[in-house]
Amino acid sequence: MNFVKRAALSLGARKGKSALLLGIFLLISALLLGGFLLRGAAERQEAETRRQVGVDVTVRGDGLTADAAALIGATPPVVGYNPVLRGVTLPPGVTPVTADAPEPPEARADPERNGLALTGIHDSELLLAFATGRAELVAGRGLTERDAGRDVVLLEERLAERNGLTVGDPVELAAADGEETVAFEVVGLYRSPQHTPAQWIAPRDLVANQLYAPVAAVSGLGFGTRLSEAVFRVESPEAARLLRVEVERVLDAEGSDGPGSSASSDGPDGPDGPDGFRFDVNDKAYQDQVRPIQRVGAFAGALVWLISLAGTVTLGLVVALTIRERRDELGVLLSLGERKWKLVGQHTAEVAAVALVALAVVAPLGLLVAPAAGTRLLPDGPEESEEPGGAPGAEPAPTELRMAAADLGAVARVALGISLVSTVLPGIGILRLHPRSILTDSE
Amino acid sequence: MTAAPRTPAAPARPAPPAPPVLTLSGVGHVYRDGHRARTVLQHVDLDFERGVFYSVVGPSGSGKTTLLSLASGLDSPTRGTIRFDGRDLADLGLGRYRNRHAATIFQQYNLLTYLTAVQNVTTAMEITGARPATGSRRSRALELLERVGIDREAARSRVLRLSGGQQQRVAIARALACDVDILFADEPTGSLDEETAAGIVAIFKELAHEQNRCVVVVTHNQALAAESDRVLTLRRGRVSTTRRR
Repeated sequence: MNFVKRAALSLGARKGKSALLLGIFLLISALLLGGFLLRGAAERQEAETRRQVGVDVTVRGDGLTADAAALIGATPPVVGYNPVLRGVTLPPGVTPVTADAPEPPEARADPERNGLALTGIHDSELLLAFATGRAELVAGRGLTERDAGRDVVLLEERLAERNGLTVGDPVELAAADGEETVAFEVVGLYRSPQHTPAQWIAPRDLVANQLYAPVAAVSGLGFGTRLSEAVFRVESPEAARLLRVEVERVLDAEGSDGPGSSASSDGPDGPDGPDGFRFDVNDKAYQDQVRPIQRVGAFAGALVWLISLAGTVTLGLVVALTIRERRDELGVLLSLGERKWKLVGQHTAEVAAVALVALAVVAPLGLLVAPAAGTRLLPDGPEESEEPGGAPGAEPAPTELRMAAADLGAVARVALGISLVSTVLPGIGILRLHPRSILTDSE
Repeated sequence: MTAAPRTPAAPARPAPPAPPVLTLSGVGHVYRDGHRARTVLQHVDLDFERGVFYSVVGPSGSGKTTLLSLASGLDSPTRGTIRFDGRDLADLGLGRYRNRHAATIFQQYNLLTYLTAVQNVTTAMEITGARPATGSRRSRALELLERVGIDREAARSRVLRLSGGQQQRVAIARALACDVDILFADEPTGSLDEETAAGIVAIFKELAHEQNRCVVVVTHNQALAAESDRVLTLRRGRVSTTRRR
């Protein structure tokens, strides 16, 4: 390993050139680290955003039942689903939140105007407002599939406050026929930051009067078994296309058992089908939030390649010039019988040693700079939108650009690869050197 | 070359002569520059023996340096064969031959300029694998440098800070450190004062006569040539005379 020792002596003796090489490697390593961190953060954020936002596919149709929704929900593309059964309940002891504006006379004709919107679901976390952070739980818990069969309800905090209700309290909800009531337990309160509008809106249409309960419980209040719709969460638009096939298969099979239902097949976002089913893909949130992250990730990947290529070319040229400049030294070593691969090895060791020093400098810098860079370079996590029924103002998930050992390892591998390629390729010239032509004058 | 000078065996000696350490047989060398060819050496037959101090003399352009380059394994002849201990250098490998068996002192010193004098010597020892019988390579290097007149302070200096004469002596110490069978030198005393040159010649003689090495020195210096055991005179690519002292 005497060539390694020579490399160390050479680096020590040629301080100026070593510093130049170090400068180049610092730049390359910093850019590479930036690229890897950005790519890693983009991948993490994409996965998180997919998980949180995903793509919601809404299936509607007259014959859509909870059983059919369950069959579709069990197919591979689906990560979760909510059968949605809507109704309006007129609870005798609950006063709804109302708009500030006076009620217009014509609105009084609607007997259900003072009702509360009751939505039967499986999992409140899968609701878009909750998934995107627009709505958040402030007390108790959300609804899950484990609540199926239980008479529990989730209230908006303004309605709860107005009626002095809190978690654990019972609340009487009227059945669909308005004649009997069933006692529900308040298991959670949520906050929807959507303001109560200044103009008149029927109380049942206000977000503050939105109640969520398990779909079976809502059905038990006499609101039927046919779902208003079912919302299936998949991870990407591509998965939505797969789901469409599954929906057609399930609904065709269901349809063959009874009259009149099959899925429409007019395209991925399918409008009404011939037999009354509708397949809507809501990938707006996905497109708005995942695609930019994917673009950042792809850019970071391209950046890594570009830096690697540019770094290799730059260092290759530097090393080629160095070899040219150090021909006499190579000739001397060859005259002593040094093996040519060791001469190439000496140059590689010199460049690799500088690369390692650069990495050692860049690593702590990366730890310092990464968090600040992350907030500037990456789009924010799942963000608020202005969809009706939603509640803007939720805090977006913070974007993290964190450096892991794997990132540093990746930079080290690429940097050492650059060292190797940039020295071995010009080093081929060393293999062609002949000591006599270097060291002695031709007579 | 038809009349290749061979050293005649001494008829009175009872024991057969030792086999030559290096043999050049029909060696010729032609430099090519595009379509132009220039013959520098023509059919040279020479035997170099252990224990003998040779000098190679001749006018400029006569092929002395080329002969040195070929014999020291820095280059291959375009014609003929060179054998070390009976083995063709082409088979042995020029790199291995230079590494284990031959060392060269160059006219331009050819030191590693980024190293100190002592580092130049130890680096050569590391490359050739030379190990001193006692002590470290560094102590052996310092000893050799001292022997050629380089004191400790100069030994620890970067060679670029040394004078030409000092660099020449470092180059000599480096060659001595390699502990090889044959030592080649191209004008080794050209940059040295008379006293130092005499000391170097004494070392060459000691190497040949006491350590049984073969020493081959290319020189224009007639005084140096006169100190050698045999003088090979080159003229127009031919070895014209061999004189045995």
